[in-house]
Amino acid sequence: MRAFIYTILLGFCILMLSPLAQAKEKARLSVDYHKIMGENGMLFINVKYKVEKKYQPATDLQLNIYEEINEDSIVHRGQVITDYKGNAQFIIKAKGVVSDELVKYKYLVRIENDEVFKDAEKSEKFSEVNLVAEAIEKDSVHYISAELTDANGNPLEGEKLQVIVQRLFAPLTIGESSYKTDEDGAILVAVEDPLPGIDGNLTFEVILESRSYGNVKVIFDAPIGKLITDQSTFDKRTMWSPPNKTPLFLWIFPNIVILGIWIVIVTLMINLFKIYKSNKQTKQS
Amino acid sequence: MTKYEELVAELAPRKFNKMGVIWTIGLVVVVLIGIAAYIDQIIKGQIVTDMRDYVLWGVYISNFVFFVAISFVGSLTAAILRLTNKTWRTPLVRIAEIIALAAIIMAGITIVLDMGRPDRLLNLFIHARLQSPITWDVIIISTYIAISALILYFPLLPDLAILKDYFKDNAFLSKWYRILSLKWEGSTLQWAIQKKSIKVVALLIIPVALILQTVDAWLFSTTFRIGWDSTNLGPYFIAGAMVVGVGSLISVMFVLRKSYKLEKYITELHFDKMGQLLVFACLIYLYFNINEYLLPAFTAPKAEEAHLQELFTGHYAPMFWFVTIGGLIIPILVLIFPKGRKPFPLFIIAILVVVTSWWKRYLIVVPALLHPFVPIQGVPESWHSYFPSLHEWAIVSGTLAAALLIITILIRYLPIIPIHRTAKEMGILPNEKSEES
Repeated sequence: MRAFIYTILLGFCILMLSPLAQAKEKARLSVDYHKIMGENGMLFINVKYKVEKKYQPATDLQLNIYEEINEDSIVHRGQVITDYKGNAQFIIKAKGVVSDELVKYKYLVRIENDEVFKDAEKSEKFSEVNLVAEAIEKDSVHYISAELTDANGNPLEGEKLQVIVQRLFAPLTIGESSYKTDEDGAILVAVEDPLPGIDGNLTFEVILESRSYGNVKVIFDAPIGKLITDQSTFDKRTMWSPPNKTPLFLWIFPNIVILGIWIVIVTLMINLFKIYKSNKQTKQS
Repeated sequence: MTKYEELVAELAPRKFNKMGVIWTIGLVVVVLIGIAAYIDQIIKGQIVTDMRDYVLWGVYISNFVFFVAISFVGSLTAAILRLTNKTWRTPLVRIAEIIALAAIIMAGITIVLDMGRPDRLLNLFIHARLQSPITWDVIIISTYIAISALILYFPLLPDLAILKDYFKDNAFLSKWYRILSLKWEGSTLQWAIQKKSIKVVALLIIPVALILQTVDAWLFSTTFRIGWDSTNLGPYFIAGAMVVGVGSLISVMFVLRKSYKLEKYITELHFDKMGQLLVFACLIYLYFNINEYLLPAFTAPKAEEAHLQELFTGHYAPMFWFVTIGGLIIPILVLIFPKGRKPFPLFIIAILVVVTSWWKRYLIVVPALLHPFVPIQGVPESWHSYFPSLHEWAIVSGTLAAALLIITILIRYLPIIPIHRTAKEMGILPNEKSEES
């Protein structure tokens, strides 16, 4: 009986004290490595947590970024804060010297000592690659040629590359959705339909999406598009321009009409004055 | 007492009777309620209205179009009848000029009410784009106010001089009539200047009134919207303005005739003539209405079809058919018969025409906004419909009452029927005052 009463009391105390020891939220981290050739690599981070069975973005959350040089050594590389969507980006400006023959990097993203969220960690491993691409012409047909090699210059075979061309609203895929690299780490994709581009320029992207290498892309311009000229009327005098670019006919004719009408109105007002003055003249005479 | 003195006594402004006082107080109260609602709208913002992303021109703009349309009566009757030298016009022109001035002043004020913040009026001038019909509207309304005031004022000068003498026992009134009469003595030079000025202003007001109505229509037709995208809209608005202008003039004529016992001056002939003018205006407007609705019904793309269906059989059908039948068909059927142009039936028809004309402007503005070519996304369902809020009704009622108040005040202090001209036409003018041509 006594044990039963103690259990009830203990349960009651736990219930009463539970709001004082608020449980921290468990955050879910995701990290992706992105790189545009010729620029610094970047970690794209997203943090969210569950509220009433629905994910919500973890906003204004400070994250620490570390690089693992080897199993015993990690280096703090910086901090980022999540935005209103729970996203943050970390630009990788410096990398540790890695002796691994595959040139693998490992980055750790950590939530540490936060008031709302429990400590958490997510790692991202990737190897450096080289991706080069260009537009070439063979037998009057334009092709996009791309070559993928690892950090040591060895061709990477069997990796999927996608070729797209940038358009105004959304990218347009050239050919099939992806092409596997051959034993030379190369692909060759024909640009069959002539695509219009301002001054004939088209902007292509060759994209590698890989677990081992991250999201890597090369962006380049090629003057192989159908020539279209910029038809912007920004500097012209149009009906939709700002006041300082009013069409001349709209400056001239309406202003002549307005001026003409107001000259008559002012003349009529002067006539009122003349009527008033004519009284004095009559009296004087 | 000579016949001339009797005429002056009959036509000089009079103090209001009990009904006149109640009427004026009633108008002041409605105006004050409107001002209070407007102050609240300035404090809280236009969230107090029912205007949202879809209907962003609500009842304020339809009310503005109504005022602009009414002001057309000034050029229609006052100027055209003057220039065509119709002698029967004499007792009507001043009433028409007063209505036109009151309506165009309130049209200008209504634009400011729609802006949300009155200080934004300045932006219309600072950031004016000559390509924008809104800029044209601001220019033409201010021009029309000036011309309407002048066409009222010039013919008033001899009458103000008469009133200065008539009210010589009332120092205050006499002083004001003396100032306003510009020391009119009826000298040959004064008559010459006045006659020339009236001719010029009467000539000027006709094109300006046509431009005003057309610009008002272009506010809509230059906006790529279903129901507004029409080359027909300019003449359509002019025809509509003729209808409501004549309708309002007949209504005021009838009330003043009864209140001031002016049966001797505003006769059945005047009602008959105005009735003929109204039926003529209604027929022209009916023609434009058929153009405006029948052809789109044949060639309508999907969105336009939805708009027309809404008007013909949908949500706005009762209002549409009330406006079309009450404002056009019934007036035409009644007024083609001489008995329909007798004062009382004509007055009832004129009131019907004015009321339906107000709702007609509402139908021009609101349903078109509910059917944009590209639907607006991500807005609550309630924004897909519109009916004016209490604030909007209070403010609009305030503007209508203010227009009537301006008319009432002008009628209180100005002779409704031109005294000098009437005396001249009756051949009872004293010799020294008969230099008018």
